[in-house]
Amino acid sequence: MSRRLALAALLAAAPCALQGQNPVTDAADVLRQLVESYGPSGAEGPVRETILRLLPAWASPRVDTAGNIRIRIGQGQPLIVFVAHMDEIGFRVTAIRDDGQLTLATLGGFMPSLFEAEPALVHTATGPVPAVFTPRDTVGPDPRRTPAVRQGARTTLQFRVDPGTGSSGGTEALGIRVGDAVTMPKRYVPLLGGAGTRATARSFDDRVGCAAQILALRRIDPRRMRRGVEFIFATREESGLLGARAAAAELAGERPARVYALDTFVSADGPLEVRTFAYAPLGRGAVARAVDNSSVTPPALLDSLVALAQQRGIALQVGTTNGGNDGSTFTRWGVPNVPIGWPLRYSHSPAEVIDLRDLVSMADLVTAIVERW
Amino acid sequence: MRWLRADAAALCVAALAPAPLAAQALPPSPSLESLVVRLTAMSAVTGFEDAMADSLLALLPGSTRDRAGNVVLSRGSGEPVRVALCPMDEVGYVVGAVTPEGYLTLRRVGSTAVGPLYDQFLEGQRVTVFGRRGAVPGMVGVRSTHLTRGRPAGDDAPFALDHAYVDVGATSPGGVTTLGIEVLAPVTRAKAPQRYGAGGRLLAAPWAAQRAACAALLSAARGTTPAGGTAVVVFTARRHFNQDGAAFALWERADATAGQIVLLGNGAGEALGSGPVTTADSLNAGRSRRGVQLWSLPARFARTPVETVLLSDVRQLEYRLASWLGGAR
Repeated sequence: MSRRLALAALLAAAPCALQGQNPVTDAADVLRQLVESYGPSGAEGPVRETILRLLPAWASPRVDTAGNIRIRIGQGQPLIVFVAHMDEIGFRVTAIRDDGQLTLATLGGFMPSLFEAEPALVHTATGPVPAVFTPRDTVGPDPRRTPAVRQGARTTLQFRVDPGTGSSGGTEALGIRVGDAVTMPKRYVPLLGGAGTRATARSFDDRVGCAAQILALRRIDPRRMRRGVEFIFATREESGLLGARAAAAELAGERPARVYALDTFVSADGPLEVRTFAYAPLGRGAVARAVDNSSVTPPALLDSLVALAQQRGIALQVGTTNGGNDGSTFTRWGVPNVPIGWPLRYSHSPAEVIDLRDLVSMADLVTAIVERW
Repeated sequence: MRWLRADAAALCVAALAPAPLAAQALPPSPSLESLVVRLTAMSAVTGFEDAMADSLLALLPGSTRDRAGNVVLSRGSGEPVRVALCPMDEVGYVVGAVTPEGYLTLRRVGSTAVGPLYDQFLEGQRVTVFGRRGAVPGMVGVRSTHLTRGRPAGDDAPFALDHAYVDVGATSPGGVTTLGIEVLAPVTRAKAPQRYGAGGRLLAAPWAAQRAACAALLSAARGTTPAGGTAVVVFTARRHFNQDGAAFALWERADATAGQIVLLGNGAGEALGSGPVTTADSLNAGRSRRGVQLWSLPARFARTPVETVLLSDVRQLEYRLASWLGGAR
């Protein structure tokens, strides 16, 4: 048998042998599992379980009192920290009405109209319960886009969730309680256009950051570490950076050298955006998020990051965007924040779009930073 | 004259209980449930019903496609001639153009009034583009929440189709063509019917009531054999272009007995659990109009992506159709 035939036979007999060798395929595999787990802000249990399952066997994760997953590798000072958040936007049940419907408050910032008259899931203590987000009660001759009324700092939604029970007793019999989180069903869907590396789903923000940490951890050899590195999968970023805030306070005494927040770079690379800033095209690599609403990267550290990427041949863009990031909770403790993102279209919508090559780029960059440390 | 139905016991229950049955009394059979889920998960943009028609032809042995694109099954012979019509289409979209960056723009198809928020329900949601090489997933673009910060935001008018750009991952018109997508390719929301309520007794999906009614007719037609007269079942095309598929079907069946034409519809506003509601209506049939009975399936949240039906109502409609087609008054 010739070598070519032998290779063909090997491929036919054991196609799985090649799995794990394509970075884009690996990235998609990890990301799909993360995206298809639910984790509304403050109720990150399912996605936490998925992350723990995806970590390499050598990792020794712990869950802190804020619900963050913490993984420390290497020893010695100073320490560097990576943080990505586990949670996603959603709603919280504020009351159960006599007709069994649920009134809601938002968890995080987003356009409420994107959830009006859509399928819903109520995340109860015993598991998700299917329901629907109702349409607004009245449309009228001149309806507005947003089904919400804003009075000062308070926003009242004009739609509710209907679990289809008809009574408060029936709703409670389904296990639904005030305080439960509510989201919309979601699926990871590959897009077929272009290079075939794009996908759409809800909650890429910030499962992509989580995936980058997992992919990097799978490549790192902890025995070769010279200094300490801590990876954090944080809770409640969408509710005010609360999980990271707790971790930052706990780590302050160790005086970390810097923190790398791995979070969305909301990009103007979309058909409806104004490209005066935040323009980072999908598919051209991770983005050094030099300025956003919560932080500015020290120029010397930005230059250092760009130099490392060039040295390693890793695609890296530099840009400014809107939004905050978990790393900003460390700066009050004197820890410089170097946020790194990946371009995202249609942020906080049910159908965000990414390019997997950007996730691969970010995972490569995290790996390079750790290996250099 | 009597029909012989496979489920004779069920027919007896229906015949003995002419008043609407209690909502919980008749749990839907698995076969009917699966038909409801199957049909509500399908898309059939008005004027582009071929794929739906193919499925119905496969599900209804002996049926044929007529010149108007309707799916027709005729059983039995002679008088009386009873005709049951169910529109299989929906108001949807076609690709209007492809931009230089590879996005698709949309044109709504269908003349039925659907309300001012119908297009807004597309914004930021997944859609399916039915290209020549198969179904292609995409999504309708929306401005990123974060990038609206610091910019003027008012009490905007609803999202309009002028701002609908479908993203299929392509970056050029050539990339769109490679996917088999051309101008006029049909586009609908990605469908995933949602069962909810205790025991999953409710089902939500776009155009759920119309599709569930068609499932009831399909199930009734599949499970019955006429003992006398003629029973004609028609799944009609282009309901949203002035019911012209139904008009053709009635023109073809000029022998339909007066008062023996039933059109299945959407009972927006009717209370769930009340069973199908009957009203008098009329339809074009060639140069004249024909009187029809409109049997409407109660629907909640009508003309929204979560239009909801109660499966026991669908079951009642199925029994009623089987009974009526068999000759019951």
